[in-house]
Amino acid sequence: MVFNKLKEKFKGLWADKKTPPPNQEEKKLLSRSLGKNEKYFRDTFNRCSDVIFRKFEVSVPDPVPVLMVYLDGLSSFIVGESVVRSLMNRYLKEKRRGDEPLAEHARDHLISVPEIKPEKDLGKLVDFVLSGDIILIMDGEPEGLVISSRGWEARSVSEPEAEPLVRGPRDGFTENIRTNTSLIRRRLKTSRLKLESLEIGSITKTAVIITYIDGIVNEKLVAEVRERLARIKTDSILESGYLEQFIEDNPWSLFSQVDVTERPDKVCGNLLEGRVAVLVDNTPFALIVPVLFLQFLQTPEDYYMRPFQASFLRALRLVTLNIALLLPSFYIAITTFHQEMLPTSLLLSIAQARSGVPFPALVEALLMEMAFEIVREAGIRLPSPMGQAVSIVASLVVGQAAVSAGLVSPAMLIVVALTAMASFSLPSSHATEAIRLLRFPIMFLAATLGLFGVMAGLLVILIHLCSLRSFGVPYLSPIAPLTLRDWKDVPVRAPWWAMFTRPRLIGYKEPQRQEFFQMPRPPKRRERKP
Amino acid sequence: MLESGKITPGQAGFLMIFTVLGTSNLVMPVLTSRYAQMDAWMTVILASLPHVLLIFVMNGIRKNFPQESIVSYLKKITGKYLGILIILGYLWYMIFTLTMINRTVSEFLLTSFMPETPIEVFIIVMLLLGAWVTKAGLEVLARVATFIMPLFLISFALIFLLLVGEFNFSYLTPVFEYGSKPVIRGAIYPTLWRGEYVLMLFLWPYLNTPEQGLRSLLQSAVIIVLVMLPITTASIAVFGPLTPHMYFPTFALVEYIELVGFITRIDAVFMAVWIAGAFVKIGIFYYCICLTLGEVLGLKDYRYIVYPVGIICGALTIFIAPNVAVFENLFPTVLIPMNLLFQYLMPLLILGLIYLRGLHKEKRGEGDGV
Repeated sequence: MVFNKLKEKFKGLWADKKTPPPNQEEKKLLSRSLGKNEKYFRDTFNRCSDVIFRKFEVSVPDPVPVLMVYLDGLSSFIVGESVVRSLMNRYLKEKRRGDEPLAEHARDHLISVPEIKPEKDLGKLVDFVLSGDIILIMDGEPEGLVISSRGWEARSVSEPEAEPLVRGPRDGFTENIRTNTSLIRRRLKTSRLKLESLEIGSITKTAVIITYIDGIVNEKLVAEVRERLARIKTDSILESGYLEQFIEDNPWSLFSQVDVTERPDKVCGNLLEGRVAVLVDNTPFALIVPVLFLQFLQTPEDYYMRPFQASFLRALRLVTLNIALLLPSFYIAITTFHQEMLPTSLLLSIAQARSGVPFPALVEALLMEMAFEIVREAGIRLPSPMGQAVSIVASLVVGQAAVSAGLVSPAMLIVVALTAMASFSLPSSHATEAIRLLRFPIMFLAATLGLFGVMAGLLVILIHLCSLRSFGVPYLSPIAPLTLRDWKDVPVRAPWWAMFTRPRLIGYKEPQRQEFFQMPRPPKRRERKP
Repeated sequence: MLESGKITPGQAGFLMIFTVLGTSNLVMPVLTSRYAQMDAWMTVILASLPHVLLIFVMNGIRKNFPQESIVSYLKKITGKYLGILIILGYLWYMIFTLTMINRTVSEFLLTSFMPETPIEVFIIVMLLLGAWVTKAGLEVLARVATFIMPLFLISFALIFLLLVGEFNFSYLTPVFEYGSKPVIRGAIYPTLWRGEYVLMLFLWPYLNTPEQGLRSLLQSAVIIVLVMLPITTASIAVFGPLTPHMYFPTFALVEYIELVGFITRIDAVFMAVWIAGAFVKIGIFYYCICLTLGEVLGLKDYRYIVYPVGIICGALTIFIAPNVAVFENLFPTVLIPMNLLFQYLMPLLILGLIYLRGLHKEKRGEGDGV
């Protein structure tokens, strides 16, 4: 009954939903009268101060009024100038044949701009203006001309700040999607590199480009990406993060099933393994699918270094992953349940240090972990000069003062500091996000059930990871399901001459990457120079 | 069929290794050495004979019904009602074994780690984990097993390697101190444990290449011998005549380990790894129960009955025995006859019926026609 009353009361809300959205415009065609067209554009761009209307006359040979519409700041000034200059030239050498339409004549003989096309639809013409093209409408012509002139102020290509490398290319993606595609194209000089373009968002009309290498990629994967992107009905895509959440396999998972990068070399490496990248306009961050969990422990630099160092670093990251997730829980479990695991002398010193601490280990750990998370958040959001102040406050107050005040034990401080460093050492902030959140429930389990609780928590995570898929590829492969052939690139990094094949579950369309047996060898005795 | 996923023969082998080693690592040396005394290590080898026989029998059964689940082909072999009766028997066997496993693990945790915690906590946690992996499906279960397998095997290798210095091989001699009869009697427990391979009857239809199942199962049988032999030998060589009187000798072995002077009592870490193994074993049984029961009841999806089955098994685990002594007594009185019936006699019977009724010829004739 109450429900019905509420329904009555909010009837208006439901009724509203049924009316069609107002942005659905009917397809209107260009009129032959310039006055009517001008009125349409003036009405459409009413109160838009950045739209510029320029009216002038072309004499070919009789004067014809022409309207030029473009957006100030989005269209290149040079192109606009060249269009106006070529049309207003009084001494036009070529005479127009009597039956040739003016628009066609202007396109073929007068305007010296590479990309130019006719368009009849008024709505589309408006869209072209909004994306930075110049449109030209002539009196008495059924078609307008769209002159490609997109050019605006943009950040130049610079080093990616979120993924710095010691050795490797220094260029990163920018906010301009064309610059980004050119950065990829420059590395993959093949016509097999495909860049499929589409538009998402009814207001933002964001350009999105699906890119892959034809022949290496699995077509089903591309079709799946296309379909998932086509499903998105929203008004705005401001960053690739919006897309990411729309296309994930399991949206309720803490673990990201899409990789994000601003490095063109990383995108190219992934495309060469048979993956698909999605570039989004106005953001330097591109998406890569499908992604495996262990990829989050890899950097592009692993492939530029010598294999031994790279393999060592990968092993190290596996260790730091476990430290970041488990060290506080282990400390809690051992100090509360399994004291016998510690050597006697260490146990005594820990007990001594903890003797003045009023809290149980769990509370102590939670306090310090929370303090660390707060410091971290404060450090990221503040402008860099103030970051120093945060670090001083953090190290003095949270560290030293907390110990000398007897709130926490020094051992706990070491544990938290190590955990923090370990979580910073993981290359992808995507991976650490889940680890950071999962640390807390496991700490509670450790405090209630000891190492058994920790193991139970880990098993739950394992079940979840095993059931995850990223665009159909099992998240934990090549470990589970086991693909020994791919282990050359996952726990270790084999030398490049040994990387014969692409990952089996992703790049099976063209499995062989290079010739076999290319190990460098000394020349045979006969061939040696005397 | 209720399961849409497929697993590889290798994954099936991993799963079966867990059904045997998941709990046998805890109690096996005690049970065998009670009969065979210091010759317990021989029982491991002796038990391989019925084990390999069972694998071949199961392969013989499934060859005649390649794409069918056991519920559907049993009805063809024995008729509808008898078939359902046998399946219900198997269900009872699996439920009972699941409760025995769960109780063993929980008793182990209780006595070795947290004597003050109520045993229900462990029972519920283990069953919840099993329920979740069952809900996630067979493929996930197989992947979990693949992931845990290396850790599990490394834990056994470590025990052996770190304790080599402590071995006293004179305990092993004289061989056949009491003749060969106690060895044969002692072999009954490893035989029963390995008879849990009978679950392959339920899982075989879900292999992506069923014909390779035989090979990978035989390989897994070899791995089991390679693990159980050192473990049994180690506990006898270290504890000698004490072994039959302990509860969890393998675990006592771990407590014995001392590494470079300061790493001692790392038993909690081993416990964690073995709990993971026991979890996989519980998961496999849980999965098979839900899958078979779902098929018998004619459900669309076995996932509906995951939690009800869990409640039944949980309650049974608690009610099955009031204390450890009664629980231990269940092994010889109930487990042995039941396991012998369902693990060895029943598959043999089914295979015999197939040949008696000539169903194998029928199938072959069809195959030739195609």
